[in-house]
Amino acid sequence: MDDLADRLIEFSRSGIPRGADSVWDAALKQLRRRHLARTTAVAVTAVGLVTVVAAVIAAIAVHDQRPPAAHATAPTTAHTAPNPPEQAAIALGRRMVAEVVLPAGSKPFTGPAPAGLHAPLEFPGTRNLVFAHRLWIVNETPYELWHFVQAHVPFPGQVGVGTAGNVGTWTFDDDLAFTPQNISMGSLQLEIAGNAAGPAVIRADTVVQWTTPRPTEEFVPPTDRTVTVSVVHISLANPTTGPIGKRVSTSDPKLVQPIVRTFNELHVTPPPAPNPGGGPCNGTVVYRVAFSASPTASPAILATVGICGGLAVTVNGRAARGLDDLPNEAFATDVAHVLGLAEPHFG
Amino acid sequence: MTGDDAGGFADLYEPLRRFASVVRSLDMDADDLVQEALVRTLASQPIEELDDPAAYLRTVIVRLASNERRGAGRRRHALGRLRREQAHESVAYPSDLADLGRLEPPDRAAVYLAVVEHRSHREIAAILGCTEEASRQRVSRALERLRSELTAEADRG
Repeated sequence: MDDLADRLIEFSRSGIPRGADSVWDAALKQLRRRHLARTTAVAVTAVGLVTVVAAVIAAIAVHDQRPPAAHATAPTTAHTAPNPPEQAAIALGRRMVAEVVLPAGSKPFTGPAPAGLHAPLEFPGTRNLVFAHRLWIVNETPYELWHFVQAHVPFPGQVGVGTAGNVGTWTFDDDLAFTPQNISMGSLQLEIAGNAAGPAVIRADTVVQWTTPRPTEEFVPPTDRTVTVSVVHISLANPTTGPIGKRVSTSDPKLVQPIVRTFNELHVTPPPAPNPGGGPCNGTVVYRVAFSASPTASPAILATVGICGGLAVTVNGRAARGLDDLPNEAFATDVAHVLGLAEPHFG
Repeated sequence: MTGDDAGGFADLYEPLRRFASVVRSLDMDADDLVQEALVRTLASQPIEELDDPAAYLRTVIVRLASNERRGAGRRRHALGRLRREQAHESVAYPSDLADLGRLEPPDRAAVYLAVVEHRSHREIAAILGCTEEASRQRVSRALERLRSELTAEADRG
């Protein structure tokens, strides 16, 4: 126990504290900024509509590209002609960059990218990514500009705002909450650099991830009106199967229809990059879901979902494409409802 | 937001940051977590009006960490989102940190409060928003899981 306490104490002291005053001041500024963002929401929407029009013109000047060779661990697609989902991803990435709202007087920056602004801030360790970027110079201090862009997020439904202050750069990271068909992620990243007194240079990157379309046979048909959920207890040694715990079968349309709808709307999981990295991601149970025409009929489609948010799917015993239930865990949540739970618990 | 609030927060900061360091996802910054908890709290009421600001802020920190883990944070863990500056570095964590990272944030919070801060299950339950019995079970199961994983890791050499 003492050893554990020592570890926890060591863990609790990791990193360099910013200090009480810094955190307090930043919190107050953030509070004021959020208040400002709420009161100007209508105005921002109007600006957004204007920029949609501007995007059509600006997109011509934007080019999609791969990350620089120095960052080749983010894999690329062997390129021939882009397929329809990839074309849609390229168009979306261009549009997202073009819709970034900047202060009046901002001008395209044509020089070499300043230190710290030479590549996207981050990207998933998967394939099927397309990138776009632009740089502007703005006659404001980096800090003022950083506040401005956070108050003028061009897309509704962002799921995360991250900041990092290192080597005089400020960042903003925003993922689309709702994406078009066969687009599984649209990430907007803004990075700002410059002297404290200005001017500032801002780089806008979009990282858009496309997915292959699902074949017809991998959708649950409308004739399947029964769902059976089994809780499978797994272990570190055997992370995919184990003893069956609770099992619930239902033909209640109020429970079945949401699960079927959600399942049929999920995207195919993009193929992982070589050496994707990532932290630990394991639980103690997974939910196995069988779709069938009736409680006594054999299921054609089986889906298994766990703590990592990916679905393993089989169709008539054959492994089908894996599906992605992140970031919202909509499928796992619907499954939890069948089990009488408010939300999934994977242990 | 008053001067008293700022002074009160200065007294709370160090223990809150240590708590946030343990509860956070490994790719989150502890100060960012404390800051966000502070913003959420101040948006609803001044700190000085809270009966127990330290416990209240701890509760907010646990909930924020859980939400982060369930949402975008989990995506980053699952898919291995690479920070640009880390693209060529190992993203493996030291094993003792990884052991703790496998626990859900409320479990880590419960263990920390019990083992390091020596809080009673009544206090832990109040912070986590559960019953005392649930707090006992959570601490017990989390400790058991940590022990079994450490044992498995030792067996693997």
